[in-house]
Amino acid sequence: MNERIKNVGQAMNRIDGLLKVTGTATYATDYAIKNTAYAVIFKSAIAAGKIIDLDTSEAEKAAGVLAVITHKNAPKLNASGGIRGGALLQSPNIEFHGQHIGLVVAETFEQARYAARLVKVSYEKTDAKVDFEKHEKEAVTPKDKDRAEASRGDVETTFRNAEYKIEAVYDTPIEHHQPMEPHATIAVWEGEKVTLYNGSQIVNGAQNAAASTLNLKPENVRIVTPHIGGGFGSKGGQWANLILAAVAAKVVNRPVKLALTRQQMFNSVGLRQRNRQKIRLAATKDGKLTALAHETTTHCAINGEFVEPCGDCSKVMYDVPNSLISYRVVPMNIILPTYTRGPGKSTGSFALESAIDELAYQLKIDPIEFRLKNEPAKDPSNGKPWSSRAIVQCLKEGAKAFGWEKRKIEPRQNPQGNYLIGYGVAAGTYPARQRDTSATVKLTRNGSDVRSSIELAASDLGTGTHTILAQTAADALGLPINKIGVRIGDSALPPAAGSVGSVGAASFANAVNDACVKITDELIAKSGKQFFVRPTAAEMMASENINEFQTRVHAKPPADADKYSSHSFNANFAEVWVNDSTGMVKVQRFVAVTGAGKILNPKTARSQIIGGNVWGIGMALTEESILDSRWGNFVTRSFADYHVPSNLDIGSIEPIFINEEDTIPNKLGIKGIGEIGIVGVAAAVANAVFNATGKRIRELPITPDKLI
Amino acid sequence: MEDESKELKLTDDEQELLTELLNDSAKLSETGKSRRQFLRNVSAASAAILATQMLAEQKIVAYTPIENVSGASSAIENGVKVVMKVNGAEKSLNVDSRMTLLDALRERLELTGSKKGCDHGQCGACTVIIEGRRVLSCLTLAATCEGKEVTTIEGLAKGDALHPMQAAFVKHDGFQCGYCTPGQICSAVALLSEAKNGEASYVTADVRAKARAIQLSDDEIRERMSGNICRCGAYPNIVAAIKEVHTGKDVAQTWQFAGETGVAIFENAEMNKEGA
Repeated sequence: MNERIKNVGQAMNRIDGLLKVTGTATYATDYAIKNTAYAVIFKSAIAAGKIIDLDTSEAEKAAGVLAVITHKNAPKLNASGGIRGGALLQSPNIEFHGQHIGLVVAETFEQARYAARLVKVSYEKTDAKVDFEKHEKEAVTPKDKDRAEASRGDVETTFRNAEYKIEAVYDTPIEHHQPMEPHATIAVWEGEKVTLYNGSQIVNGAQNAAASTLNLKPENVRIVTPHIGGGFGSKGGQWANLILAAVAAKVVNRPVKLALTRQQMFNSVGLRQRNRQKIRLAATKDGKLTALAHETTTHCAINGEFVEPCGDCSKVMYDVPNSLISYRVVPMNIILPTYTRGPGKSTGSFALESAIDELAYQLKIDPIEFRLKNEPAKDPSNGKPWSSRAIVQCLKEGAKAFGWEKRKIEPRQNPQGNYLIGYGVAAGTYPARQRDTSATVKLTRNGSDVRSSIELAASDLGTGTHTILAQTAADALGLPINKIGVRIGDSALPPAAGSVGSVGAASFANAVNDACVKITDELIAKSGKQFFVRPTAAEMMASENINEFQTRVHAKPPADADKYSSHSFNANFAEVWVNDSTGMVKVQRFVAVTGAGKILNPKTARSQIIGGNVWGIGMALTEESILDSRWGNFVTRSFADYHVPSNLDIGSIEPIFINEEDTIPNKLGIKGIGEIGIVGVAAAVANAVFNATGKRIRELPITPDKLI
Repeated sequence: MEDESKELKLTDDEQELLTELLNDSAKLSETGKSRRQFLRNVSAASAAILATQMLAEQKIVAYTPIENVSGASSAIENGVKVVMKVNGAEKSLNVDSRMTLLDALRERLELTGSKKGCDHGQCGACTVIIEGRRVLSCLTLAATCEGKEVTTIEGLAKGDALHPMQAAFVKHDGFQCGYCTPGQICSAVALLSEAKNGEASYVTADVRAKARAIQLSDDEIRERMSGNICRCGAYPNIVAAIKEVHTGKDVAQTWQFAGETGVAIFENAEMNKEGA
């Protein structure tokens, strides 16, 4: 193996690419299981109150109908078993508009869909809290300890006495994840065991929540999810649809397929909550920050609290002696909000990085220079040293690549025909963490042919997990990459962390690497021989004439990781073209420079960053969900009303990575890139819109009506 | 890795996988333009080989074939008999009059490549090709497809070779989760013939110009692909893949890394060489 190819760090095609371009990758509803029946959910038409009558007789008589399940006949479940958002048909009470109130199971999808419309429901309505503006004042301190107020120094006095300061409120609307694969489940019972084909970012999390809710032992629940059609947080925690599929399958004693419709997706699987963020920022004349307050008011659900951490970026981005981060939350009759790509950091950085831009303009200091003047030597939130902090390099390299020197500090200086061109910059950060993960590595030899199978309950929602794990294993075992098989997305495999919060790559790859090192150690020990040059696992299989061998590890983060503050950082540069007559904004060019530790596969990593940028551009320009304050339903409940970016909305996007070696957060130096790509994007676009037009838009999305 | 000619050898795994994926019992030939084209686009150190094991394992754990999938179910109401050609094979179905083509493909013919993203013609995940034109199968009743020729993602590869669009999507990483991909690829394939026929779009400068084969700009590709939503945001890569097939010229892939000496730009081949 003297010509061992190094795979990690190489720009490689996805190993699951062939499956995906030929239509053979299997998502939740792609399994053809004999005798499957179809379930269709029906939902509440009020936002608060209770069901007083529910007439299912006509539906039950309809052709092909096998069962109608409502709170009247649903089996008793453990509603606090870890399923998010309630709606488990356990009571007649209604907590939000669109709460699941029942489902029809029929021989065919068409029959179930038709019969679901025959159910007659009458309600007793009570006052619903659905208008954030109206109830904002009722907001209280969150119960979540991670959202407790954090302060140092004296923000109030410093801010009051400051000569240069910004006080502004930044509003971001409700957003929906809307992965292209709607949440869907096929449930198959065999005795007391149930297999659930269900998109799950956290495979074991889904297994445990389903087991607990269904009052089963975890080993009696199997989650199968080799490919996930996107998730972005909505398939992290699990929602009622997973359980209702299992319940339906039990009731009709057949496999059941249950898919949410696109409309149902808007109020079934969480959302990004509306945030009102007040920023106060003060600085000296020469641009040294003296005070930073970031106060967020938001809403959660009546039946649960979730508050995204909008103040997180403000905790670590700048060196400022006086600081205050706080949260207030008002429960409303709305589906429980949840983690959404770049949770807190994407929305929080819009507020913070817009305010930084505003203050830089007030000081007439270049916004990059302003940021550089306020670089913290250590983490200002906890005094820990940085394991690495690439933000200065991100800003400087980005400025060069983007052509920042051409930007004029005054707005409206760059007209071209009917367009106003503007440049904007914003920085961002996301924590780097490794989570406990087990992995098994198996080796099999047939003559000179040695192959390996890597097995763990990891997940791949388009993040490239299959590919990076094959690359990692190939290098660690000394095998060509085409001899590595990767089995993930099955709770029957060794338990693993989830693809959430940018912990996936670090957790999975370190576990796989540890397993490969361990199996090599064990083979060497077994031989009883001493080696001057460490042989590979494959060589040991051959020299010791072993045909089958396997081992398993449980990998944990390094003991010292906690002593440091470990984060990814980025700098985003946007060039926008604003049509001066119509107010239409196009992000013509975007440069994102990211310092995110070891880049395992530049091809898939580049795609991840582009994807995050596209999400950020959607956040900046088009994505907004509107609640009807009379009924509590979303007016925006299709792709025609809720505008995710389409192909023509996106211009040139150029990701650049910083060569960064940092093995403090984990042995392989992986920081994760799923979240960082969206952080700072909306602010960069908004700052560019100001540079183009002189208009400071503090309420997303920046739609034409706000510019004309 | 450093010498492209070395990549042109098909491994047993690749052959096995391709044969399985393409549903073709014919063995792959040792030479031939189509195979070379495929291998140029899909580097040997990539997809094919590894996917073999994944595919096999998935089938073992999770795949139970339906019996008599295309036969009449006892539950069919308002049954309509339809005979259509799907991926070259004649299919005779008795469908519920309300059944969409998408559901007929997925639930009756075991062709689950076409995806249900919205069921309302707003996302494009269900795009198939009927009589050469791209069609949203979720807005098409199966009963209207009598005598029609339907091509789905499963029918694009010919014999032992991927359709060039499929290979270009792999090369340019024109997807992440892969759920919209079958629709994107079917849309892109039909787009090529629309360009050949000189059909106008929203961004065409002069819609009165006489129709003749047109060279699509990036914006033309973007506009013409805007009916296919990709929530993962792979749009720039999708445009690169389509441009490569449309122009017949390689579209470079680059990766930029900033070190102490500034930003270095790598092309795909160089990246691979570096680590070899």
